[in-house]
Amino acid sequence: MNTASLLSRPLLRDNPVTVQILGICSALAVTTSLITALTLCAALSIVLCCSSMIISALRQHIPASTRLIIQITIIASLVIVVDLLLKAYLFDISQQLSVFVSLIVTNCLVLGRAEAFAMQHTVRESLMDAVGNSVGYSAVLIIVASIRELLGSGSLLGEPVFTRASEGGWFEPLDFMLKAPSAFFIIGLLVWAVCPRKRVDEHSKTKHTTSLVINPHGASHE
Amino acid sequence: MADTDNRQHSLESSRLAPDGALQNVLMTSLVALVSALFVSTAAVLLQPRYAAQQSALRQASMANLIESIPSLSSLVLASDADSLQTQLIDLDSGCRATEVSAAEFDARTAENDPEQSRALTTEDGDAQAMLKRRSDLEKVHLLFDKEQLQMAILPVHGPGYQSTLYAWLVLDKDLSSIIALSVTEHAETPGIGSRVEDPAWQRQWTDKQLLDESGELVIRVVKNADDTPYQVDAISGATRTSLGVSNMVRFWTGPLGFGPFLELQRRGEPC
Repeated sequence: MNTASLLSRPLLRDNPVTVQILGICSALAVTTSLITALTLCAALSIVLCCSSMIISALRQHIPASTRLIIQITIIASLVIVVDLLLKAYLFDISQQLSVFVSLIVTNCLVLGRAEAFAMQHTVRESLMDAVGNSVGYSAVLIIVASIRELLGSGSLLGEPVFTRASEGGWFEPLDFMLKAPSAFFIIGLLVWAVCPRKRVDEHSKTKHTTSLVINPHGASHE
Repeated sequence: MADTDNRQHSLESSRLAPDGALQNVLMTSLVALVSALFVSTAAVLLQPRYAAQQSALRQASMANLIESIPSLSSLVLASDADSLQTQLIDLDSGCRATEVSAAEFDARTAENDPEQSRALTTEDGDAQAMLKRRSDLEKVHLLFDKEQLQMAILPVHGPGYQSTLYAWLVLDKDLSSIIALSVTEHAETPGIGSRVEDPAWQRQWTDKQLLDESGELVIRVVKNADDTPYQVDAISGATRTSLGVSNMVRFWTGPLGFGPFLELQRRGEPC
């Protein structure tokens, strides 16, 4: 696989959130405001890139029977360090994110890429794949968070965009957007928006018989 | 598709990877060791910054506390700046300790320093299950108006379900009526025990009484509290956190905590 396809496949065709339905838990929890979503995306990207590279570099030495234990140990250490860094340098945001940074450990996107990709590919390819998946995951979170913050609080990154009705404007905040179910609806609409494209792709390439890859590490981890 | 190819590929490559018992033990131990070193180095290096953030948070919590109590903020504004005094109290005698300056005193350091604290033993009864050590001195904030004590702000702490709870207990001038309990620091289960910081729950404490008419310490956190001013309703689902708050308030207002100090102040004979 070439670099370009490693980077671009996870953006739309194999998007971890809208196609593989991974990492939904965090996508629901941290997308009430854009700043928390951006922070979690950055944390996840760092963990995913580092863990993919480390696991890929060690792949010749990781015994098959204990590979999951080794992978999760590496991922968990990275997550703890990222969490500590956030607590030390971005204390306010880390308070808002509460447990969701630590929960990156159980985000099946990270373990999924380690197990399905990094274990069989070179460090460079694994890094490309991790960057692609990070961007794919982040794009969805940023879209969802922008919609929720804009309609739920009338602001973006804490800066007011719409003037509220209570302050003489026209905007009435939608409290529903700040609750978790709204993220389900927005992600559902995104899945719907992405899926038809995919089917056209599959029909044009008759060789492929399976149309949807469901990652075996999917729902059970969430 | 790509992932299915990878899976077949992984079966081939896993046959090549050495998978003996020795290899497994060596590799897992090595990864565990390196990870442990990595995590602990980061924790030690970042600790000073984290501690600074925590102490800034504590100071902000004091300011928030004063703002959140209308009677307190109006008193502070109405009276001289000096009227909110910080005093060090010798817990055993209940008297003011003057040999150490209040500004330099750090209760958390003192609690773990054998020279500035005492271990609680089985002779201390239930209290021993609560805290392992107790500092000899504690810092309290007292609000005076025309030399009359109006309010006392006491720092309290104790174990909750999985973390130590830290709070301010604000008492009215009779030193039995509670004005507020404000939990400032905890690491309880998010969404369950963490509701201890919920303002609606904390508001319940306002106007509760520590002592009944005979002067007995009766305040408690219980399930399905009645309407008496001696009971606070527990947080549903967080029994042990609620019990922790109950024990904490009872310990710190009891004989091993600020009890002697409060008793002297109530009788109006400060030493």
